[in-house]
Amino acid sequence: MVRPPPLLPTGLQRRLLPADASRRSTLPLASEQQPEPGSPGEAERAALQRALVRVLSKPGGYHAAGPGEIARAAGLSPETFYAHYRNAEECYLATYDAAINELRVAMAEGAEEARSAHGADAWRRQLDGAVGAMLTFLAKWPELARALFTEVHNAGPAAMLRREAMLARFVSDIDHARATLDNPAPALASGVLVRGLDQVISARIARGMTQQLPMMLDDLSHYWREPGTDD
Amino acid sequence: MSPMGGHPDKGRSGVDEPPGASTLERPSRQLPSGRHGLPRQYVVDNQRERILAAVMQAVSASSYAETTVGDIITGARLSRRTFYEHFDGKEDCFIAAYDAAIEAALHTTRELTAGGESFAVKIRLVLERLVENVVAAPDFAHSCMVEVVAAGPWALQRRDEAMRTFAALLRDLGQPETADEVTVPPLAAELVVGGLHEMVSARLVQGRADALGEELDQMIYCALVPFCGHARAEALSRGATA
Repeated sequence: MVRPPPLLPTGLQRRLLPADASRRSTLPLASEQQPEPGSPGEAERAALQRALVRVLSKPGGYHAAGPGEIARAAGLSPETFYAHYRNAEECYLATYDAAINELRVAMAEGAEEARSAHGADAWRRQLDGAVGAMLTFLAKWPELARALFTEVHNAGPAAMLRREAMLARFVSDIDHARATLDNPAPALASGVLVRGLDQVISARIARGMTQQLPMMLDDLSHYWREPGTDD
Repeated sequence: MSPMGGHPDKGRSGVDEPPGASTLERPSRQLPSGRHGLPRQYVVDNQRERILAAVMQAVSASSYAETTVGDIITGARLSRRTFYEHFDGKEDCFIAAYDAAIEAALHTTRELTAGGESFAVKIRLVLERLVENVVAAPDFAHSCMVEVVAAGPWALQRRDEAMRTFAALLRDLGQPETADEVTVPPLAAELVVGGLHEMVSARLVQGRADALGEELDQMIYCALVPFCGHARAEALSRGATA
């Protein structure tokens, strides 16, 4: 049987996939397993990034995360650190990019599941799926959540630019998914959605409530759902 | 003046506003030195207000991180000793000024929404005033809305509390508008308030506060939509005073 062409050529799940999702990171940050290293250098970078995430979750946060601390937490020498990164900021930026890619893969999977279950034009369900997957991801990896959402504010201007670019990309993903479906919400609505979610999530992480995030999906979805309906 | 408190034109009268709203606008209100025969409490309040105005000005002129107690006392024209009689340091002082700005914003919001107008009109009045004040004093708005994130965990906590207070206000106003059996949860209101706050912050960071005037209708749509649904929110948010 020939599959019909997808109704959503630029559906949310596809928009969310990182450009290099096809060769999914061999060394995911969000994993309990020590992954099979592709090369010694890759394994060291992965160890340093994971160590940074652990260091960031300690009371001093980013301000206490010097190259020495990161290397020590990774069980590596400072020389090894400097072989890969010039400073803590460079290590943070690499970790941020890798973690956001993993988050996007998880969100794309959530959107795809909702698309299979509810159909290609159920964009609100797809958004439920994507946001739900994000909340579950963050609750499962609370140290990563803190590194991405709260410590980014302490990590310097380059990190703030990455954050701004990440928010803008989520906004355009949602805009595209809405546009293909003739959803007529004004342009600003997606920006308020993405930035509002960022605020609610960051406030919960700062209050040590990261584990409760997945329970908040239903209440949050009132913003994109029609009141009094299932849609 | 705060991003919400007072009015760009009328704020200076300071008649019907709480202390923070009118005094923060003034760079300095120094009492004549020497024997002026004023009651001690009056002098103390005046000093405190001068410091609050000075910290916001100093942060607006550079950033929270670069501001020093030296900058604040220079602006307030008070001694370091007097400063430390009022505040423990820069953080304590900035938080007091932030609290005053939020207090003024809440006061203005309550005042604008106290009448018998519809929900949509009240939302328009509040957001219109916010945009007017941000456009009139973008540096001050930047201190309150953007720099506060850099001012440490206590300031972040205050900001978080302020967001939830405004979210509760929005919910109280919007709840009667919803259809029967529909309740908009506090988290959805918090998302709207946080999202609008951050949209305004983003424009301030981009140096595009002026663009907010054209985005006003869309901001109103975002505040109405969880309560009214898409079609009504769109109709009610369009054009001049609905």
